[in-house]
Amino acid sequence: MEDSVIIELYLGRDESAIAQTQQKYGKQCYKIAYNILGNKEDCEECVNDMLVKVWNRIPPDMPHNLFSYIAKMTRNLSLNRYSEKKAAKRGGGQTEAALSELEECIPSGKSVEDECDDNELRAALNGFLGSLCTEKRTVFMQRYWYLMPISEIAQKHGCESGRIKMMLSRIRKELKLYLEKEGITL
Amino acid sequence: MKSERLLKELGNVSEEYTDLSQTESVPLKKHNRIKYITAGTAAALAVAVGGITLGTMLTGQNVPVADTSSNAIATADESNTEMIAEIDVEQRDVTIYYSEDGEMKSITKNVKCIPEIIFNEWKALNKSAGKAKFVNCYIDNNGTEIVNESTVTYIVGDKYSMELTLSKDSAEIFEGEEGKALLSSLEKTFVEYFGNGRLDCEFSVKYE
Repeated sequence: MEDSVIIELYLGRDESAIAQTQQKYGKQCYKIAYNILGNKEDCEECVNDMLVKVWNRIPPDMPHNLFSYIAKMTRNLSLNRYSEKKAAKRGGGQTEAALSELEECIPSGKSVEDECDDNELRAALNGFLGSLCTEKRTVFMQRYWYLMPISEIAQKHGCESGRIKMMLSRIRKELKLYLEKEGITL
Repeated sequence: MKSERLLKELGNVSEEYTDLSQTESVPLKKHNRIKYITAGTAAALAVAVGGITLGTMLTGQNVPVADTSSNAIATADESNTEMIAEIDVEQRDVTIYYSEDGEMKSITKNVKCIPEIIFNEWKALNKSAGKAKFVNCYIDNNGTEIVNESTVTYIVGDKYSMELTLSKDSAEIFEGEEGKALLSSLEKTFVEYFGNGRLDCEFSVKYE
């Protein structure tokens, strides 16, 4: 079913919209949650929470791209759950590894007062992604947006994991330089 | 934790980057090392004959890859950039020009001598160039190549021309008076560096 038809169902408060969303994008959303949490039960709950949230938000929301909309929601819900789990000392998925890798991108900060706000950081990240070639951007997003394991990214691109690791390492260095150049302090 | 903030904020980047179609399998471009070595060797030989140092070629004006048959020097499409990056291209001071309040200004930056990187530096300084995307840069110095059984000789010519290819939607940023000033800053940046500062270097921009 086309995304526009599914959105119409939401707008008409037709509950089959939820089933259609799950049928079309359930697996991908589950995968996103699994990459972050690494736990079947938590993932299922996150996907269910996402479906309820989408039902409550459309309308008034009118997503331009349904998949991006629900994928982002799934990612945020999963990261929140990850934080809760971490507080309870139960780790999971690729998140720890991704966080540790992203430490390399943190620009050298001065003080708390210099911290940029979320809008500045988002604008800088958009600028950085826009400056990358498609190939690099795809690999970067697969790792740090979809939290895919490096081995899976390598498989998708038909290359060795080492090449992906090297590529990510270079992109992280570029990101750090970019953020520093933009005066971003985290 | 700072990296957690970064990871979370990445979740809010533009949808154009998070679209599923953007993240599907894309076979990565293969590194053509043999081609590079061949071209590099040819260039080294040429330099020896032409009386120019290899250092000048590798670190500055001409990054020799591919297309040796047309006596041209193609530089930095994406795969080439990566290929060149792998051999530690030297960083040098490059003057980047930019247009601000109708005035041409410049700044000297120590950057890797790759057209795409220099283009991105130029773009970062020219705020109205936000849409512009680098595709490739083709530099021809009207040289000649002589091939015999065991050696390849390349003699650098005396006429430089440079064709910069940008993405289709880049064209509109060069419209109007402000656009002209922007184009002029781009030309000055590239000609001064890659054209060896030769004022007679022909510079053109195409879009695809």
